[in-house]
Amino acid sequence: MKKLNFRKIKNKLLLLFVFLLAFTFLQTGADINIQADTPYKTYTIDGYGYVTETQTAYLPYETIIKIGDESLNAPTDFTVLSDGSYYVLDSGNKRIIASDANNNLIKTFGEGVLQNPKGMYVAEDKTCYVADRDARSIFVFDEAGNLTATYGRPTEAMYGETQDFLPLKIVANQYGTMYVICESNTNGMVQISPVEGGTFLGYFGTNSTTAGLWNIIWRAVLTDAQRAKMVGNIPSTPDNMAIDDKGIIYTVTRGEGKESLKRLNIAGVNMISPDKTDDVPVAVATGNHDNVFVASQQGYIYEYNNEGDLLFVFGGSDDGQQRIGLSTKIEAIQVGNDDKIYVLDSDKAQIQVYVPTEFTNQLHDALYLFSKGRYEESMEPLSEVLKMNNLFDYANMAMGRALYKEGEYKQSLEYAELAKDLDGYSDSFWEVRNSWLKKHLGSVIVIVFILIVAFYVILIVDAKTGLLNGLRSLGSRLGAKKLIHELSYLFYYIKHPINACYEVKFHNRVSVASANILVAIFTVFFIINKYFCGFLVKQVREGSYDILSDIGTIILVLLIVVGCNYLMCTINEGEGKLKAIYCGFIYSAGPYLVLMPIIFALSHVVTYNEIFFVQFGYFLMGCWIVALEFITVKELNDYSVKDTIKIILLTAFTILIVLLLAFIIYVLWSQVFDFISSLIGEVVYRIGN
Amino acid sequence: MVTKKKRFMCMVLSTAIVAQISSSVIAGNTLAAGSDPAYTSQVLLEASEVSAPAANAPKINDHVKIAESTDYNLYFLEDDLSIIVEDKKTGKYMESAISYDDGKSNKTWYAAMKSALVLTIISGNDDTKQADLITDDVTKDITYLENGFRAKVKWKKYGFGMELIVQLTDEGLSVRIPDSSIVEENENFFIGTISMYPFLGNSYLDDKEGYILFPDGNGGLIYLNDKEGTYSTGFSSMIYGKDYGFEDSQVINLLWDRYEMVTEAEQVIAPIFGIAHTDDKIAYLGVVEDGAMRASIEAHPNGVNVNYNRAFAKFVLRRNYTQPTSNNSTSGSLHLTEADRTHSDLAVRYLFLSGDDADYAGMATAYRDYLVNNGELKTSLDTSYDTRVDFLGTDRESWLMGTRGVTMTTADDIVDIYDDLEKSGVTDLFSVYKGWQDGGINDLPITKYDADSKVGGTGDVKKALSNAESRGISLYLYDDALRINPDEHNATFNVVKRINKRRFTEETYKDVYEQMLFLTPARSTKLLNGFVNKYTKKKGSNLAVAGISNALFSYTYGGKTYTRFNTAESYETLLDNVAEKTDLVLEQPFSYLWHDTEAFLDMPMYTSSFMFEDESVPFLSLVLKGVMPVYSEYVNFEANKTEFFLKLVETGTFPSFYVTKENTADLLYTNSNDIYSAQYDVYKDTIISYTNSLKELNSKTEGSTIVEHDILGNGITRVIYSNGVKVYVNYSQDTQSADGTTVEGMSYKIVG
Repeated sequence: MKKLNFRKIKNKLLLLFVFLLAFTFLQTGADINIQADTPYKTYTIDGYGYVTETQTAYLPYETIIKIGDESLNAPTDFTVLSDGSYYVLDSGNKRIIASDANNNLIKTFGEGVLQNPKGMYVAEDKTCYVADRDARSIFVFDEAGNLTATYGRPTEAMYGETQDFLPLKIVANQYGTMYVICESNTNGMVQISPVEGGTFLGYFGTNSTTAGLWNIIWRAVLTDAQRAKMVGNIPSTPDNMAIDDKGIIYTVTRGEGKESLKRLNIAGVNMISPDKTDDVPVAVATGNHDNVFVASQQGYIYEYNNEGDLLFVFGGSDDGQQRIGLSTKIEAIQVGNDDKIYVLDSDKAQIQVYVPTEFTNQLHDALYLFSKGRYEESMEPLSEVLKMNNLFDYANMAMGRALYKEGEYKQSLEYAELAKDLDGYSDSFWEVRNSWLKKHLGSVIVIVFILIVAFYVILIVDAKTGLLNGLRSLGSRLGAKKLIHELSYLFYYIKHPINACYEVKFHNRVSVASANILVAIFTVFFIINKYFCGFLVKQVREGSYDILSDIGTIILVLLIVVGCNYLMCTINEGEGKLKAIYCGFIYSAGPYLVLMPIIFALSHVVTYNEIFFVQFGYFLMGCWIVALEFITVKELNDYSVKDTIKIILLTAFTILIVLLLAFIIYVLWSQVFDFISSLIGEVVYRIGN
Repeated sequence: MVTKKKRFMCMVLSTAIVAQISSSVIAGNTLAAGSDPAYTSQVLLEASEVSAPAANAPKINDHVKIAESTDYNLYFLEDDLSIIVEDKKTGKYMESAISYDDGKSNKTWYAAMKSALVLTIISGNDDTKQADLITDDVTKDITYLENGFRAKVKWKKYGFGMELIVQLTDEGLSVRIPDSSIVEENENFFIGTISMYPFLGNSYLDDKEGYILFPDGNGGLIYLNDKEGTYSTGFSSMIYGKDYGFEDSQVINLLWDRYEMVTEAEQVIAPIFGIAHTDDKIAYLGVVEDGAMRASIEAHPNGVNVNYNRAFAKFVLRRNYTQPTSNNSTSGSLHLTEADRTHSDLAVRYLFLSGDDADYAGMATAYRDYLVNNGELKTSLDTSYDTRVDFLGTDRESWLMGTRGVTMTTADDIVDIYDDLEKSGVTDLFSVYKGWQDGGINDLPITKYDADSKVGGTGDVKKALSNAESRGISLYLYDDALRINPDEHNATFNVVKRINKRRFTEETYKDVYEQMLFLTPARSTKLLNGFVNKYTKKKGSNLAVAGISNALFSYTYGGKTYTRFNTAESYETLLDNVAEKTDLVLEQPFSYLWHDTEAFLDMPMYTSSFMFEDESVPFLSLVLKGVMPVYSEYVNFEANKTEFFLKLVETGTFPSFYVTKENTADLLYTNSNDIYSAQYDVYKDTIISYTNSLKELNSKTEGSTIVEHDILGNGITRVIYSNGVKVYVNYSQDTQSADGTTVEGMSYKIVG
């Protein structure tokens, strides 16, 4: 109730604000234009990282091109305060412009002091911190615009003796401690305390370097000088940062993948893992609902929740279309108290304001309630959100979790599956399965008991009357058929590989036909398991099928492996014939056919608590197959263990060479093809005219 | 600097070939003068030749009065062929050339602002050079007509010739260049574009109050205030959408290299533009009468190159294009000029307005009258209120080796939904059934009357159609007659190739079907006619056609090049024919097809949000309200539903809903996954409440047209209908009042 009232008041204030703006339209030159149609689409993301379109989340609302009569010139930073007033770092004019909430000029300051200011932060008490690159200094101005402090390069040895001081971006916490991003300083953010005219406290939030396998190999090969030049060697400098009211610092760094966006606690440890990031983020801001906004150079604006789930991405770059809401070069982003997003564009020299739509407001309500653990309350706005968009992944997830807390496990399961919320699915499934077991455990036990009794009764009756003789003779008749006989040899093979290899090698115990049939069965099992296994272990995206390439891959892998192995064996005095090797390889994959059905069935009934059984099944199967393959290679060719290892390594090498060759041929051939087709194209064209 | 250099080059070139062209110019002269008696007689039928105006004839700014209509005078200056149109009652006028020079423009721009004709020239790869009547050496042969004049114009240097005919009658000011009079006699120069009187109605900075109307979405205004040089471009958009035959579709920025992020600007649905000087109470609406298929509307505020506001139509005669010679884009390509120019008369009719009519509502009325008088709009249509509830039948998702159907709404479901709505008192319905055909919504083209078995088969669909008919509901089957799905159909032949002979593909950015192709108009004709025959034979009559209703392109097929005029003609003939056999409705139809449709589906409610746009006005809605039922775009996908509802109230547009029986989450893995919210259970209440409110409103205004539309300062928009009913829509959050009527925030009130 209280919240509602507050919102009403807020709405009224907002309205007043709108009218004031409208009234001051001519005086301020602010161009108000509430757009109900947007030049961009809005997307959200699903559990697989695929995007789905959604309702417009934010509408372009107002474009600020002038503050009072002052135009901006290549502005690079700004801060919007909680009362709606804002400060713009008008870098091209080397000054700071302070505006009230209605775009009326309050004052300009910093003229004559600033040289090449790049970043600015204004605290709630209107203390203004400016990072000036060319002045190599931090300037601090008080509310009246008087310069109160200047901090130059830290003198402490810890700062680094040769390290220059080229501040680009700055934020400060409530105690006045400054965090500064400096150009070409890769140690992290420079942390400066205001005491004693500026005390260097140390570096903060250093980005890590990536040390992949290739890097390690390279480093082993390179000289020291070369090593020093390696790009991946140097941690990248963050591009921008923001600070929330709890003093938590957010940074964005280009080209860092999931580490592009970081939320650093006091200890400098990252606490967020976004599910999708931009390659070139340029600015970050925190919202009012534990949400985070990131703007990219291409004009895209991302909204994340506090765990890094992407809620929305919208916006886009303006390639001369001049449509409101598209950006050319974003420098900074801010979020107002009323959830409006402010985006500073240095190329367009303007601030574009976006307002959340009804849809987004509902989502924010839900977000807030959900993150505070008020699940029951959150269900109402969540269901509104879902009404407006059934496919909104985050809402489905939250709804599933909320329903779980409410004990509605079956529904919760559906939402979790829609949202690809694996943990939620696992929990709900446990409950659903549990209640099923509780309900049916009695009958299950009875049925199992009856089956066991029946089995023994039949055995006893059979012993006396030969009830099953018919079946038995059918079995032996089938077994007498050669193909069936060969196929069923699989079970012997996987248990007694050494003997079986001998039989295969010298007695033609199996045929190519039986091996081919096994490959077919193997393929079918593979496909069934890949696309229809339990939700929790499924690796491919729901709804995507690529069966032809699956079959192709299996056949290709088989042929290459068998072929290369055979080649290596023949030149290394192996005794195995091609047929024997082919069949041997396939028969040694037998455990797959035996264990897969069990694993497949298990995958449908386990939760994350028991997922171990599935994983163990895979492990067991893997070990078994590897052992069989090894024995097969060894026995068929009559190698020693050492020779076998050598052959296997050689085979792997041959496969690499073959693949490389195939790639080279492909590239060359496509070049030739391209050349011929362009030649023909041009000839046809010339003749045609 | 650049222009000077170019001009110098031109002169060098022209002196070199002067001997060569001089003979051909003479030849062309006689040809232009004597040829094509058909059009000459047509002009002469309306106006006989008269002698030059007397020396004591009235003058404005050196312009001599040469003709008059009931309400307006036409003044003319021989030097630059410029004209002035004067309102007889008030003496206020609009000029085609600037009369005040601020001295800030270069020579080329100055010439453009003075000249009656402004051409761009294509010479080799350069298509930016300008030809006009001021800077170039031009011969003019002027004949006075009783209602205007005729001027034969020749550019010696470029070998261009054409005849400009200007006539003022009670039907407005007609400005025309007959196709047969256009000559290009120098093989080094081609005409790129022609603009006639590009500065008609111009004003300097904020000298005049008023606005420019431009056809973006439903309609947009640019105020005639001082823009202080904020904008570098104004509105410039091809009438009837961009030409797919020329545009390269691969230049867009994609999010994560995969997703289309920036939406395309709205298409220009009607070939109109206008300027109103509200302080002088004079305005005009320009209607492109001929040549619209290949012309753009230009509306530029002051600050865009020069400090004058202007709006005009720019006719394209020829374009340069890139001809790749290999499949690989990195390899070679040639830059070529189109072999043939556009063949069509170029004509704009300016409907002048004065007094209280000199505003956009007056322009809308004038345009409606113009359309009705020319038979381009049916007047006998039923405009009574209906809520549009469309259904999605089925689409397909990937499944094992192929695809499988995802059924959303069967034919029986439709009947159930009708039953359910009827129980709640909603019976005024209009429906389009999409994705009914065998194979689902993306299985295109439709060649047979064969419904998907998943929606109940043809039998059930027929039952649903007759059930709807018995209830008095119009249920239409939906057919996109433009597209072909290459994954489901053989698309080797009969598909559109671009002007560079490369196949045109439309990316869907979806997973199941990644591309669509366009059928050639000949093929569309064959297939749609075939389907209509089969459909009507089985008593089907209601048909909704999409695709060809709002796409226009140049293309090549079978070695021949077809222009947008050819395409438009094919589609118009086809739809004329279909409209005769069926009850036809068209999806967002271009204006040249309006006479074929019984309703306007998917009327855009907004504009493309251009920065230079000061106000969005429902111009097209004003034109069509009361004449044709107009249905909005789908309510489902609007994020601000309240505001959208108010827009419907303001424009008298009927709401549209896209509805499925099943949960739309099922569509996740189909190409229709952008339909993220459509389940009937979710929308039922909205449908009922929208119907109740809007039906009440429309019962009061039925059959009436909108005569006044004003955006009052306080957030209220006032709409006055021809029967005197007034609608006040308050878009602000607070209670406001106007004309003594108080309207609550985000609400509306009907008076009278």
